[in-house]
Amino acid sequence: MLVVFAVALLIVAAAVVILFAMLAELATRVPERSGPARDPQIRPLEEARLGHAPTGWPAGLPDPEHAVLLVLSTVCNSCRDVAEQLVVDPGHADWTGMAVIVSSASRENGEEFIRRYRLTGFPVHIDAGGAWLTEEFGVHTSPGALVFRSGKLISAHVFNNVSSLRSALETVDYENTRQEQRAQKEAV
Amino acid sequence: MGPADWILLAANALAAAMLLTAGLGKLVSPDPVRRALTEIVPGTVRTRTVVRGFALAETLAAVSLLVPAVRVPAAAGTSALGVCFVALGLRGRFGRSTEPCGCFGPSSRRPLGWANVGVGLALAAVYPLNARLAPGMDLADYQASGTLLTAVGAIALCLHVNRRLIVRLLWPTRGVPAGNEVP
Repeated sequence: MLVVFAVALLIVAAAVVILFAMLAELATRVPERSGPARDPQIRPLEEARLGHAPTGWPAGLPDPEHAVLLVLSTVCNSCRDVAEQLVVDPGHADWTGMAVIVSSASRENGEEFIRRYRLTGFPVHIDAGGAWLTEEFGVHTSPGALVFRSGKLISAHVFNNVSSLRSALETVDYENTRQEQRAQKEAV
Repeated sequence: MGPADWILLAANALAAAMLLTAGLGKLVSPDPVRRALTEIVPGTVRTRTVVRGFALAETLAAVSLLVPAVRVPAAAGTSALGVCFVALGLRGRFGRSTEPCGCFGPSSRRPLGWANVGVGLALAAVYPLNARLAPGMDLADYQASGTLLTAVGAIALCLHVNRRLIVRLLWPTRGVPAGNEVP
């Protein structure tokens, strides 16, 4: 009887060893993070309806002539990190034309999210059920960034690092401005 | 049980635990060992099958050490494996190996070196010990006690080898995975 128990325990021990070996193998495929390192890559948000001019524009948001809307979801881990980046790490209170769209199951959840992550210093709109984002722009992914120029959605991005996103958008804006200036000079 | 029985039991259980943990780790993940061996002996070990075959030999030796009927031949096999580890450890040490050996699975970060030589010498001593001593206890008691000690030893060794992974899982650092669905 004791032999049977001992063999059963050995089988369990072998299973534990195998399980840890599998976990370790999986872990080697995931880069180890040290400190608050965030993926700086900015990727296109393929599903967004580029070129669309929204039929409805929530009050309190920046003018869609020149606006960037950051889409955050209350159930998304990355979105919580983005919220922290906006407020304190490193903080982007000086970003003019930027607003936060909080997509949540209910208005109460959205308000709780804004309160918890101290987003009250930014223009914020709560999109209950994600209805506005889905119907107007076909967006289902977060964290996302929607860029508006002249009242239309001109680009949409998936991101994790707010500073990288901001740098990328400023570079695009700078290049566009230079192209416009060049075109004006040639016209003259 | 006299002191000699305890020594034999403990030595065999410890050897079996080490071989079992190492063998199962290599069976699951043979690539680290393959890379480490390719670094010190280029051109010899190219396939996962070879490494997994070696891992299977380790596992069989571990289990066989606990079976009284095949204890002595298993001890001979264990000592042969020990001699291999000594040779590879020395080759890794003097060849200035840098590749993690993967001896107990992917969590083994140390390159082949003195630690492998030490483990190899310990395993090499298993056959002389088994040839000299025989269990004075009931063989069923030897098998049961040895198996229990091996199971506990394997779990303890596994937790020790994977301690960094455990810490990483229990206390994750900041930095979160990619985004999710908008509800």
